[in-house]
Amino acid sequence: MTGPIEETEWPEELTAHVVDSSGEPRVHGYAVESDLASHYTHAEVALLAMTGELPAPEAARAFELAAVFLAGASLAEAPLHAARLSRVCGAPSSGTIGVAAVGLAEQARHVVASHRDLLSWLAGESSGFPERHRSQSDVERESVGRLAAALRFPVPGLQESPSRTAALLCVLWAAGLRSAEQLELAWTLARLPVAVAEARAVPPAALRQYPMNTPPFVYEP
Amino acid sequence: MNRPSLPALSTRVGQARHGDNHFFGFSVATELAGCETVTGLIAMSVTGRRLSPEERAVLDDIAVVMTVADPRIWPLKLTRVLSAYGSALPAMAAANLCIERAHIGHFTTGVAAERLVDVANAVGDAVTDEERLSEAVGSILARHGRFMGFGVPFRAADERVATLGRCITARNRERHRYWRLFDAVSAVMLASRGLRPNVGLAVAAACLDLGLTPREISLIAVALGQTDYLANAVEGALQAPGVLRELPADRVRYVGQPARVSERSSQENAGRGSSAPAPGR
Repeated sequence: MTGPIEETEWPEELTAHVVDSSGEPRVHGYAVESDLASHYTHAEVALLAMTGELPAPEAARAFELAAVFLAGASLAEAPLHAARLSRVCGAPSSGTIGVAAVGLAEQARHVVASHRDLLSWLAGESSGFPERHRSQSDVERESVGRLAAALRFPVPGLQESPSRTAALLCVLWAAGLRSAEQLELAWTLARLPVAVAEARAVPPAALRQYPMNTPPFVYEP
Repeated sequence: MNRPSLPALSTRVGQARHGDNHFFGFSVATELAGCETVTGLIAMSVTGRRLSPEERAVLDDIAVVMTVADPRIWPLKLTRVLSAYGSALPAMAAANLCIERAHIGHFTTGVAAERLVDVANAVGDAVTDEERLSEAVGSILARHGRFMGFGVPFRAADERVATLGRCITARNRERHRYWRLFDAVSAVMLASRGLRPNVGLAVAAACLDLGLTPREISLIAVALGQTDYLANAVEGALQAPGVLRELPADRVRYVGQPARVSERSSQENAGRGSSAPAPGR
């Protein structure tokens, strides 16, 4: 018995665009083992994967710095909190890693979406730095100051007294990451190790150590 | 291009046909629509067979009795936390990642079922033989450290066990083998160790009496229990509360490594002739 799937012509192969795995693996044409491994960092190879080209030194530096700054994620943030809950439930490590990745991707999606006006400004599609993305505290301004000093080259947006998140998006933009997908991926990759590490820092199934009423829920049917 | 053909993979699950779809050998349009239920589809998905209406009714009872949707319960809290960004499905996906082979959650019903099967194999037809039951229970505790399905957190008894018991009795299934064994093992564990059964063991017994295997029981229980996650994911996504996207800083207490300076930073500072951290670090 046949149906529409049997009766439709389909290609017989998947098409790879990034990795050539016939012989020595190549990423966007560059040999992984005999070339990239000896001459480029993991961060530069990640940028190559995402953008299709090896980054210029300043772009690589920007990406590296943004990724390190992003690593300072708090357990108070939803992705790490959720990953910790998976450990409290006694999930296997693969489950915790998966929860952290899903949570970080959701956070990244939310952050990028809520900074669409900033990205539009960076792309030259609107005039005037969006006021709502300016820093709100001295702590934020100091953090952005440390980011700018570590960069040692000008990045559009950093002179506008941006919030910490806005500043990091400006730096990722300077690294050559322009699409929502690229920005979300960079955000997720940067935070995944600390998210999983924080989750697994307690014994599995430590149910009583978890603050169940933080925040409280009130049943009001 | 000359290359070897790939071997075809066999499936019993489904096929898209012209004007209809097939599911485990049944036409959706003419054999399932109007006479099969969601519970029946779940059971078919896991077991490959179509249950009788009576068997489906037992699974419906189980699904309803298992309902505990309090958002504070850990895997449901996880759903709430991740749905705070406004999307329900990623939160549900994450919750399901969390419960496979976890220590709590519906997947544990399959492990409880394995223990009941161990006891059944040990005692055979002597379901009420206290000595053989005690021996079988002791053997399980020696091998596994605990009897999955026993232990009720934060309260004296699991209210869902009594509720499911009433449903099983109403369906005249209380004399089935594994339900009788569940009653007998529960009496032994209470007398010897002061532990009462939780709903996981009761569900395991009811499902074993339907002829389901422990692996099938885990998967069916998870599928039937999705409504707890769905309800929390839907409301959580609608509310999307900022407090769950990020708790206030004073709700996290740091107990890790004390502040320290990296070797490279120290060397850089020494090179500058200063003990203060370099700017930008």
